[in-house]
Amino acid sequence: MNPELKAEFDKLVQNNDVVLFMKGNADFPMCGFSARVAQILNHMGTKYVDINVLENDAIREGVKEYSNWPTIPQLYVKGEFIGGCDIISEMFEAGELQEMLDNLNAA
Amino acid sequence: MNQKALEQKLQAAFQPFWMALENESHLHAGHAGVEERGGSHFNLVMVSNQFEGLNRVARQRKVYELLSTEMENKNREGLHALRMKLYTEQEWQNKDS
Repeated sequence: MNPELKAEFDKLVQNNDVVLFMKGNADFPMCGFSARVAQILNHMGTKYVDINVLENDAIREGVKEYSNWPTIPQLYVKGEFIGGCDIISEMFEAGELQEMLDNLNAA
Repeated sequence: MNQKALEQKLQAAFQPFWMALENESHLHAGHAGVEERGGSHFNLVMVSNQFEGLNRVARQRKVYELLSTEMENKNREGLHALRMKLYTEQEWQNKDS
């Protein structure tokens, strides 16, 4: 992918502990899958940066390539791609997401 | 997206111990008006030993890679979203309920 765009993504996910690429924003999600992940993060009181991919086509298509993941939403924690809606839901139900985010706060 | 074709493709690639594929497109008809394209929504539960030793992200990537042409098709015939639960046989048998 375009190295400048890749650098932008690198910067974004490395400078923020939790980043959610989504359709719409945290207050007004525009898709059920994005809404579900935002709802989980809100429920856990997680501080996160929400990026609305609908506002920018370069980001919308670029993030799919950057993550090697064809759908939105996408969650990053500490620069690492964690998953989309199914994975985040499963991790939340298993208590794994809480554990991951607790470790973040402790670090 | 033709359900039968999708099932056959998954069957051939993953030789699943068990698989259930459900077309959920009706649940998303005209959702929020942001999806200018049509395309289908499916829900997949699949049990295959090909997921052995792979984490959740790697498992879903395997399925997405198989279906990349369908995922990239932005027409009504394309695949817009695929919910997935992917297990190994061992995990499936250890699942309660």
